[in-house]
Amino acid sequence: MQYTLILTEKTEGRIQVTIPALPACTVEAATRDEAIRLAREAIAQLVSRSEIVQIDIPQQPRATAQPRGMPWEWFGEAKADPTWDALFDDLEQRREATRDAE
Amino acid sequence: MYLWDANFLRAFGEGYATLHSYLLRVPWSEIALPSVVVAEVLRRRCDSALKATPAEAPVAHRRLLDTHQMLSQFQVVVFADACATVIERLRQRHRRRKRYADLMIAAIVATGQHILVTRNQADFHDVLPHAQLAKWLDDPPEASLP
Repeated sequence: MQYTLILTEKTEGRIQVTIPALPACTVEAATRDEAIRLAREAIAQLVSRSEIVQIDIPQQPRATAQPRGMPWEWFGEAKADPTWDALFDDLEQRREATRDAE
Repeated sequence: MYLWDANFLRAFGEGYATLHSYLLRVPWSEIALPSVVVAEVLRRRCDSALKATPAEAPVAHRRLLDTHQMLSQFQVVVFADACATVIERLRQRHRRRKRYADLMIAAIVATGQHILVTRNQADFHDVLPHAQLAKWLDDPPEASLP
């Protein structure tokens, strides 16, 4: 199995490794290679002592509905579209056609 | 809720100045499109995308997706079961010959006690009460909004 490592250089020059898939597992070393070696060992050690169990939780977390704001980025967006007017002219013609059919 | 007829979606896309002044006063959460308008606009865009020549297709398909994204910014009020009953009542009440899409929109507006915002007042004034019709583009917001 492959794990993604995030290597971050700290102010004092040491390398800190965090592993997004294993947030509790972090290591630190003086060099990049040493940091990767220690991370490999830490992951192997943690995984050898761990079991993965998946469970279902029927309840959904409560979410507060965010009121949607005015989508100004779309206001006037069709100005440059030469087919925008034709689209609505066509739509009107199609509506008129149904008047005749009544 | 203010339901926009197709002519207001057109004005929104074109960036009409009068509409802009309404949008500054009316919360976006109070504005929606009837599902009829969504269907009409997407049908036209889908037709263009599917009938385009290979040379025209990239632009036609991009416009379809752009329009889809614009429409997804709006709340949509759907023609629901109750609208089917209301539309029959409207058919019997109106005096002029009607366009089917207009009747469907009027049924959605009447069922939900919404306000229809349209420039085409003529086709709705005998099926919807005056209080359920608004024509924002022709009146300044001070004259129309409560």
